[in-house]
Amino acid sequence: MPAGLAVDSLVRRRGGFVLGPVSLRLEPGRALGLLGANGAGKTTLLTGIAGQGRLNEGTVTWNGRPVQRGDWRLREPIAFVRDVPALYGELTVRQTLSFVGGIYRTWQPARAATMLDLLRLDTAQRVNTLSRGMRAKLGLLLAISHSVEMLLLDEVTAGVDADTRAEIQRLIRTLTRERGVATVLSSHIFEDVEHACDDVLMLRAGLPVFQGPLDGARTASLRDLYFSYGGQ
Amino acid sequence: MARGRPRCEICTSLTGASDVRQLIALVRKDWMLHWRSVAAFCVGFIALAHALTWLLPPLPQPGLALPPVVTVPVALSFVLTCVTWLVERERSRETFALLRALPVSDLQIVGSKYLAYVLMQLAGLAFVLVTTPVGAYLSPMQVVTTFMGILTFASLCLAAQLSFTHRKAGVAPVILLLVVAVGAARLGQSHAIVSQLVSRWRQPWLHASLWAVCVTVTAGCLIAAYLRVRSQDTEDLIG
Repeated sequence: MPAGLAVDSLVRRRGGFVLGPVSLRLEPGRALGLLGANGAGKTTLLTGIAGQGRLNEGTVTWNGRPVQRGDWRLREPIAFVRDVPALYGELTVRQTLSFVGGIYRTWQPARAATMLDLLRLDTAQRVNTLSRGMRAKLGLLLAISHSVEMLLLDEVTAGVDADTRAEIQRLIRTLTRERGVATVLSSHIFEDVEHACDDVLMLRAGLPVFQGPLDGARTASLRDLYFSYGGQ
Repeated sequence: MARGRPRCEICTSLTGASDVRQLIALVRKDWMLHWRSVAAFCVGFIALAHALTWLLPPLPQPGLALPPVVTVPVALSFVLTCVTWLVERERSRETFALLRALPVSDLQIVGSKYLAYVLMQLAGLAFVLVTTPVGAYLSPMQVVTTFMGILTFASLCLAAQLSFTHRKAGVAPVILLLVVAVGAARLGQSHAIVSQLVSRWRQPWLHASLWAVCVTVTAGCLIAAYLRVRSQDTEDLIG
């Protein structure tokens, strides 16, 4: 049984937009960066991998098991975090943790408490009073305080300050290298991909234009590479 | 990938203790979000009832505080308002995306919405029974039948809200309410039917039949809502 994520000839059509065909492999303990302009298809690809939307063609498997839309049991090992995590603003951070903790079968309260301290979140604060960066951190905390095996992050660092971004990058690296989580991170920011990822996939108008390991590429060269493939 | 799941989700989503725990977590979350609004509605209703009792001339029926022409629209608007809170809030603030990212089935999502509404209505009923003389002119069986009728309307509203997106989602239950109102008005014009219903309103078999109809319609609506939600991508569900 192949370990990790396997995407084969994935095609998604939404309105007039066509994504793919896209194929990729991602092993546990590695992080893949998705780079592309707005509308390049990063979110469409991530939602397809997460089983959040219908695939028109192709297959997605996780550890050899097909990821199908509506297969909610796979949402235990596969966590998906959107750019602005949709959370219940009226609830406090503690109530949000209690709600999400009641849903996951493998929820680890001790890990959630450790992450709360690490990310410096106030449990008594209402979610709608949190800044964008704090909401991003809370969304990430909810996604990793259980037995997650694959983490799909959709522009979680967009619009957050430099400190929070560095914190999130460190967290992704730790999760990937120490806990063996396979991570797909979509971002506009080259530094995010350079600091947190091992591989990169560049998308342009729904098509992959470059795919390969970063091999310690510096931001400048990643940027050059991106623009050399027609990035905007 | 595009094909449906081979297993029956109804059989696999509510079979373990952890599934029930998840359902409780979902209902509890809805209750935490909306209990203040429900309380405000109930208090508002009592204030309205007292104001109308003071303004309107005394009713011919003994013990009846308000005419059905007032209480029925209030009850139906309670249904519409609560179901809109439960569904539209998730849609407009995109929290359906969070629910869809959590390991809960679409059946649990739809079921939790209905159960949360049932709790709201139970709270409303308890409040009305305590604060108004409903018990004086309705037998327990009639209260249960009325309660189930309102629950059936709620399941219709829930199915309508979940079946449509954007403006249609808001308009569909209102159209439904109009259809019910017009149907009731036309029924009311037929004196023979009304007199038969009134004369049998105390007979147990009539209530048993109505309960069976309510349960059937409610089950049908919930299954339709579940199938509709299941067929939608998360982006479409958010609208």
